Amino acid sequence: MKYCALLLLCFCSTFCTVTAQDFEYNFQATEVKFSGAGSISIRHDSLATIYSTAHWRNTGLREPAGWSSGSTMMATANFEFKCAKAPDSITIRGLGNDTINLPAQTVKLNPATGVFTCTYPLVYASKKFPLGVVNYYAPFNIYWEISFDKGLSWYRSDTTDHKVYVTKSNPMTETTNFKYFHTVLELSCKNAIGQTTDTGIISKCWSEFTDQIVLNHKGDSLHYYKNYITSNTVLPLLLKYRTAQCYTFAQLFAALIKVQGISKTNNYVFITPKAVASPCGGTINRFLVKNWKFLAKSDSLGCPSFPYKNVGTTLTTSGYTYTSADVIDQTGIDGSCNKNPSSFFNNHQITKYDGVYYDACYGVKFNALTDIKTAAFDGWGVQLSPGTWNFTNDMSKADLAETITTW
Amino acid sequence: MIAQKIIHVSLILISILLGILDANAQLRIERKIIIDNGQYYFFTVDDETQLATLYTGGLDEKLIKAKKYPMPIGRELNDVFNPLSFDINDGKLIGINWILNSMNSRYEAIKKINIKDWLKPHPEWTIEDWAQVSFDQPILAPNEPWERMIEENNVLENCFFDIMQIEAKVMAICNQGKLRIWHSAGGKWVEKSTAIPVDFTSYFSLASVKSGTICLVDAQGNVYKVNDAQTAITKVKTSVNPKPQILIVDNDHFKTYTIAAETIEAATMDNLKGIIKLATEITF
Repeated sequence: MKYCALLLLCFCSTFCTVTAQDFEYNFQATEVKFSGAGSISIRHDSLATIYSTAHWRNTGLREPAGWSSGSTMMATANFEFKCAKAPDSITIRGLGNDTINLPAQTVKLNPATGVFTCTYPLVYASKKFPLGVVNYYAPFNIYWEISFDKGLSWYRSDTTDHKVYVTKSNPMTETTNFKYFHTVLELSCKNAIGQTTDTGIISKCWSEFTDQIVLNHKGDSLHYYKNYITSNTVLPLLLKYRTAQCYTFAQLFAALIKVQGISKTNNYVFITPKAVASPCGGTINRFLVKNWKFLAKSDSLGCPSFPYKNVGTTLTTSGYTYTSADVIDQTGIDGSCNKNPSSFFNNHQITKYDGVYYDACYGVKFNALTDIKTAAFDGWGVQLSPGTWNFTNDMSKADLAETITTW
Repeated sequence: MIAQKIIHVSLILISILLGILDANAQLRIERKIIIDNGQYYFFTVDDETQLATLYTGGLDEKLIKAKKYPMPIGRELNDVFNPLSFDINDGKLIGINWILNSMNSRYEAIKKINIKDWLKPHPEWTIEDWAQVSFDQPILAPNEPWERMIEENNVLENCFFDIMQIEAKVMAICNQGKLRIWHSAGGKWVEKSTAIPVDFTSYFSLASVKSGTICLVDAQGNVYKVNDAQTAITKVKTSVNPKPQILIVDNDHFKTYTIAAETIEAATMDNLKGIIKLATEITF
């Protein structure tokens, strides 16, 4: 009896054709699923739902998989085997990156219409992801090989490709706004690949922000105020709508760290002007982030300490309009994917690690709170009547107050 | 023709059913229901916009028939959950507009709103317009309780607050196990005593009983009495139902009840009079 084992094998990327003396057959992976202790249930950015349990299908499905370091991948796979005459069973193994292999398993071939099917059972890979090391596989390839003689000789058949993330430790527990979003895993593991220390991971994750270009896992821009009028203030909404306020970038940076299992307290800082009464009767509660141009003072008599007056300030989708203005917005400091983001605020949020303030919106960091007003602000504001704001460019008039929480 | 009618009726029934289910699914009441001048009032908060919607109706009307009005107030979508803090008395709403937004000042967050002014629709307003309008609402008083708290300790941990109006406006705020109770008089906040040690790890609501005594009800429905000098609180009632609780504050009869949120969610086909029968009055 002639068995397919007698035939030679040739490669193809999706479906393998094996040529025989007088016939040929095909061997093709149809689905791969991962699991195992330490695996991470990754969520869609836009829906916040967990990806389906299949991670690869020959129909084009590609979904990410993640584990914490020190854990062992488990995988199962389904195959189709087209052959006029097939053996009762074949042996399958998968060779992965970094010699993380799926061991040989002899499986039964099941006849179906015009095809045989078989399932590589759910088994552990041959070794763990190295403990304490962040890793990022783009892709993690599994070269599937089959043997017709119980492993004496192997024929490379199909290859499946996977996006695999390995975090340093088990990610921190999910909360309302911190979830294992695809982009969080992507940015964290891609930047911190190879890192083994908390400080190294924080430093590398920060590098994602320093060029003011933050992209999601698909390569789409995450905008800091693409539209000046946005009420998106939590991480899930940044990832869903890709434009948001400052809070979300601070949360994104914190999330990149939390997903590595790094627990830091008092890392989230809300800054706002200290509620100091101005001599004009209002409370200083606005600041202008660079760059603003101060023109002639029109209210030196009415409010000498805040003599620059803007009347009828209206926020539009791409800037500010005024009925009259002594202070006008200029192209500002680059924010994420935006050369001229919104810059007239009551408050701002940043993160703080090991005494350093990280402003992820702008990709800059500060060693002290007092440095922020000097480096980034052009003025303070006070509202004296509805729609009317008075400003000063004397930065000594106020300071920032910080409120610290754990995110 | 008959088939068309059957389909039409079926679609109506499905719509009604979906409407009910949708209402049930959406009805996550913030903190409390207030009965005032024969009407009930409560709020929900949108998961994305942070904006509150006021639900109101007569006490004999089914909850599901409540009229809904967007209101210029809301709260942040924080991991640390502090429901919308508000009170309603004689059609006047006071509340803490805790929307997280770079333009919203926490110092100016305590708002006073005349509900009647907001019962007309503003279909031309976007969500962002509503948010901006909420920031611009007149303040009841500067948020000194918040300001004083962060001056003392700006690291927030188990930080919760609530506001209510009895004879005066009362605000309770706690952080890191220190509870402070403030009274507003003439637009200024006054504190009767120094901080009271507490161990709240989730939100609480302010309430009062007939005598005017202030009490706190935690998220699980446990009731704590604040002594007259406001130097100590004592747990006076342990909840028999540890599930999240909603207060029903009946201003018309000076009574306050607790009821499991899920009980209300399951009873939206009932009216408030019926729902109160399922609630437990706070007495001590």
